[in-house]
Amino acid sequence: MTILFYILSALAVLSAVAVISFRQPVYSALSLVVTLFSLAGLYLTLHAEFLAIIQILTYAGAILILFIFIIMLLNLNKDELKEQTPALWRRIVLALLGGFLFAGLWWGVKKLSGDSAKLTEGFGSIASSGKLLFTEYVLAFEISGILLTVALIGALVLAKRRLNYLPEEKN
Amino acid sequence: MSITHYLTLAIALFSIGLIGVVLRRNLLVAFMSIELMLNGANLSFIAFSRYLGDMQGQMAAFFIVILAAAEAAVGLAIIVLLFRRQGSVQSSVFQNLKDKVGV
Repeated sequence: MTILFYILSALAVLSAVAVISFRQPVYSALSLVVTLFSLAGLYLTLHAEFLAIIQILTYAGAILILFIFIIMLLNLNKDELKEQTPALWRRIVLALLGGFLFAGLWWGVKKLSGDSAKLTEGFGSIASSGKLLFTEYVLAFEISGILLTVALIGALVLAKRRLNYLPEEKN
Repeated sequence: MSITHYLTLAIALFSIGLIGVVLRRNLLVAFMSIELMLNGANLSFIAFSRYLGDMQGQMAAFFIVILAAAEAAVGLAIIVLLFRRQGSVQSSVFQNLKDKVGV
């Protein structure tokens, strides 16, 4: 278990760093897939089977496909991908800020101690998650259905070509 | 593994995501960094859920995944629209939202 945790977390952190450092967005998206898969593995070690499946299906499946699809649709050329490298002082300041954020949060976290609670039968399984979703969280569940519908309609309206109220397009 | 290990990883992912959002000029990559931050938050929810033996944290993480899906759909549509109108996905194209008189 311990070795599994270290392998998966090293994989997650390395690929997360790769996400923000690759120049090509496609490589970033593929590194993000690696991060999401290793996180799904970590969810399994935390007895969250349902969420591990959701992570792979929704995140690594749907959302990342959407990203890659958009990247290919936009078909960015070389000039477009060229970014100014931020000045060195900005990178140093940012790294320091990130380091401070990490240190500050970690300082709060490291005081937590003691053993984890005893788990009940079927903790994190699909059956118990479904039972919770359809009893205690049924309102939130329905509202998130509406949220997804609204997002779908919104995305359609935004991405649709030639709307009357938009000024004429460049090409 | 204790909860501290998992939370440390969650904090690391969140910090990396934050650095990515601020550092990168490409909107697509900045967007992916936001996904990284959301995943860091998700991991801490699930770690606490295991620590407390309570499924509520897992439910919160579930709704965050739904939220991320909706956010990705709308956000990417905005990026496509922006690319069509400005021909670029650099965050500097948003500069024309700036008040020209004031600053």
